[in-house]
Amino acid sequence: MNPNPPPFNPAADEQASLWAARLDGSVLSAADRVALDAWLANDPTHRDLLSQYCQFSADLEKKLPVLLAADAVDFLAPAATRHRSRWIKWTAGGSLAAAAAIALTVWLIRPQTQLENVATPVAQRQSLTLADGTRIDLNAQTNLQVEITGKTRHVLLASGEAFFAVHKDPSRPFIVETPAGSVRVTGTQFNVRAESATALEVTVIEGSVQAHPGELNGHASAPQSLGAGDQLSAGPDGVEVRRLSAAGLDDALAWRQGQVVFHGVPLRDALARFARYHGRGITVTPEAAGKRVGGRYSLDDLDGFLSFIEEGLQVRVTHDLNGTVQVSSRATR
Amino acid sequence: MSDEPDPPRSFASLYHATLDPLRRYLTRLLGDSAEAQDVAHDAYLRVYPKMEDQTAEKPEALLYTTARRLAFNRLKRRKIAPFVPGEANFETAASAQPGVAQQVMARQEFQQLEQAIAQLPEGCRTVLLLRKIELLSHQEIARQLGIAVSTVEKQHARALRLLRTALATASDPLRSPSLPVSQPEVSS
Repeated sequence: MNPNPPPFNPAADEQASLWAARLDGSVLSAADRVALDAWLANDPTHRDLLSQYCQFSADLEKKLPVLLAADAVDFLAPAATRHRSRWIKWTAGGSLAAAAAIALTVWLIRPQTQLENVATPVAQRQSLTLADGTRIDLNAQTNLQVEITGKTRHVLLASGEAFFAVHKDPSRPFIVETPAGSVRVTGTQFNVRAESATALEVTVIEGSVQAHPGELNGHASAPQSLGAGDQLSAGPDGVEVRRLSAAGLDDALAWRQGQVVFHGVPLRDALARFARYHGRGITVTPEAAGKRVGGRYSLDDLDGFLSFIEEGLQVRVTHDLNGTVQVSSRATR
Repeated sequence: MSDEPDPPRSFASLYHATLDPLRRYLTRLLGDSAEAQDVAHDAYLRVYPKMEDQTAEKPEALLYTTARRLAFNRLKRRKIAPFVPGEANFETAASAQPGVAQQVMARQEFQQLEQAIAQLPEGCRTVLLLRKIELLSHQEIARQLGIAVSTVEKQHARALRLLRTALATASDPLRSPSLPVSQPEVSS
């Protein structure tokens, strides 16, 4: 906010825009540099003006592809047909294209089209609402790609865990794909955990879904219909569906409050949850790995959990210099 | 079995196959992993439509070319960084976490930009898009269009001026700082 903006000077403005253009797309010679320095020294407002144009130009580089991706540049077609440039072909197919960016949400011009990449870092969760009204909560270290068009709704859950409250739209099924299988719904609430390429866990809170685990051990598995309260676990050992109690459902979704609930889970699996959430290397010796752990813990409090198991499970916890944690059995007295 | 080849998933597979190596490559070029990440996104964004239309014959090569050109633009801009005032926020404005309000604003802004570009004279628009979309240098544009580099520079500059004026007018019709035409009439 300049309290006293300089009056508009068309000549300086034109010169600034020309320098900005040349800085952007040309290679300045030494003589050009000298000329530029002279022009800048000529008037203190020149530098600010040029800076504004440089920013504007940098912004355009970001924004124009988004416009194109949204297929909004139909206006190109009539004007540029003579030059059959490549970009015209982009729009010719009439395909709804979109944008890809991690943690950069791009809401496109067409309200129904959205393509976005979201990735959460370690120890942080995130919520987002999609253009169709669907809400997604992402656990830490989760990576997903959303593609919503007028006809389809696709989410690729590349890794991690997410809770979906899918806005009802029978004309556009909502499909979550994971490396270990896919889930298809029209409108419901469910949780998907895909923390490795071979394991898939789907928990349905409301409504019904079609889960289709991928090939396991080379065998294609049949699609499974799941209703409210069902939890499907698919992994190298096969596919299992069980009915969870209300409390069990709460436990499965505890991560949304930053918590995790274990019921007699092998220490190996419990530590894996923390390791994933915090992006930390945690190793556990075979004797310690099989010890069972139960209870509700704060996912953020890794140290608290470690001191708890150190005390309660008779294990030794050591921290390496490189940040990894080692858990081993303590010699019995 | 008798399905179409596999285009619908191919962007996702390209994305997953290239994300890590591309980020490493860009980090080497730029010496900054956050900026590398940002450039990678921009590159995917640009390659995506071409893959959708199947106009990209070698998507991976295209991706790397695009990313390299974007990175060079960044490096260039870094060199002229002294021109960017202290509170400059184009980096944050372009890449920061988007809140809902920002998204809504962004959408209006995009609509204004779309209109402003539609109203550009054809020559200006062609040059601007070759530069900003195809990422060609002024020299490459001059060769492709068969015109002088100085003409390309002037057209590019004119496009910047016209767009800036149009957008300033659209977002703030009363106090646009650089409104060269149609000063409001002073009623005595």
